[in-house]
Amino acid sequence: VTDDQDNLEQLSDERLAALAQGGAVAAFEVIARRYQVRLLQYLRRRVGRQADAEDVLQETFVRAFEKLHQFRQGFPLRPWLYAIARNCAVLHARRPRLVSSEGIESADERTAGLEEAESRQRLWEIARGLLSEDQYEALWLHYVGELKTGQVAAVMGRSWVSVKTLLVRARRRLAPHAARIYGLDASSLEAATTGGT
Amino acid sequence: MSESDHKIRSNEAGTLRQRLRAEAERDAPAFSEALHERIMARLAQAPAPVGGQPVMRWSPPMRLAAAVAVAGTLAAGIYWMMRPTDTRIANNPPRPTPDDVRIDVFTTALGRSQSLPLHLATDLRPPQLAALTEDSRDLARFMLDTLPQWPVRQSDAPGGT
Repeated sequence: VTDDQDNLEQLSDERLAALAQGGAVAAFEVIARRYQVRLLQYLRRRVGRQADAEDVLQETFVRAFEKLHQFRQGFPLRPWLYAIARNCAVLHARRPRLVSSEGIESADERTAGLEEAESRQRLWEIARGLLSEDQYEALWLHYVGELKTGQVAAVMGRSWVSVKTLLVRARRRLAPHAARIYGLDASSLEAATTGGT
Repeated sequence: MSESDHKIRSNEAGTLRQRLRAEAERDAPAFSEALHERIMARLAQAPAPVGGQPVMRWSPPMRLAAAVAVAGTLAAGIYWMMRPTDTRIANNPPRPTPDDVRIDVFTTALGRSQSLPLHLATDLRPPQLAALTEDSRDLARFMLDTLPQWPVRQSDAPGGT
């Protein structure tokens, strides 16, 4: 069994998905193991609380397993999983729940938060406070999720051009902060915002 | 923009990408075996994927290849139809029809043989039949129904004695 597991772990995502489509649950288990951390990190940033993120992650894998027959062979698995995770997060956000005042911050608190994040050299925290939700998500999927612009567009249900615009604006807004934190040249960063996708 | 400027900017963008990725990795949660077990236990209750067999769908390269094949076939067909008539005739000369394959078109069309004038029954050949439309066939049926019929003697036929 361990040998089989080792063999499966050598396979690509897409090959594992094909095997899972044929009924090999062990192949899907490898996928779940491989993507647990990535998707949990993405979902934690989307839904906020760790416990909620874990619930949504579980829902994501269950839905992916049930809809596996819809996965198109020859296409990359990663954007497909991210798209399911995003849909589950959206559904989760629509559920009625108690709203606490903890998550609502004033403009002063936000500015203080940005300064603190900058002092702690946390660019993602700055991005959280500075960028729109869509800009932040596009940037995250592109850099951390390692998705191409077109794949980000597919996950977010937007056009390639609109995602490209989101990425350019996000990097442009982050450029001065990135320059201060990482010692990069802000003008070069702003000028280079159209590249790297 | 000079090439060196472009290189510097690309480097800065690349560095930003690396830093953002590294920062995200620092904050990544550790793999949780308990969470994995929980997910797999939930999956065990989930219905198996519908179909059970890998679904073969048309990937973009396959679609492109199919489109090219269809377009090629279509183009060849159009070329074949549009090429000069002389060439077509030269390539496909009409085949002579020997006398022994002459057919009784009216007999075939109407299922009547006994009362047809022999010269009508023998003078039409397949190439002529090919030109007949449904209307002309109806016209022929009308004429045969209208004309008086008489017994045919072999000597009345063209070339008969």
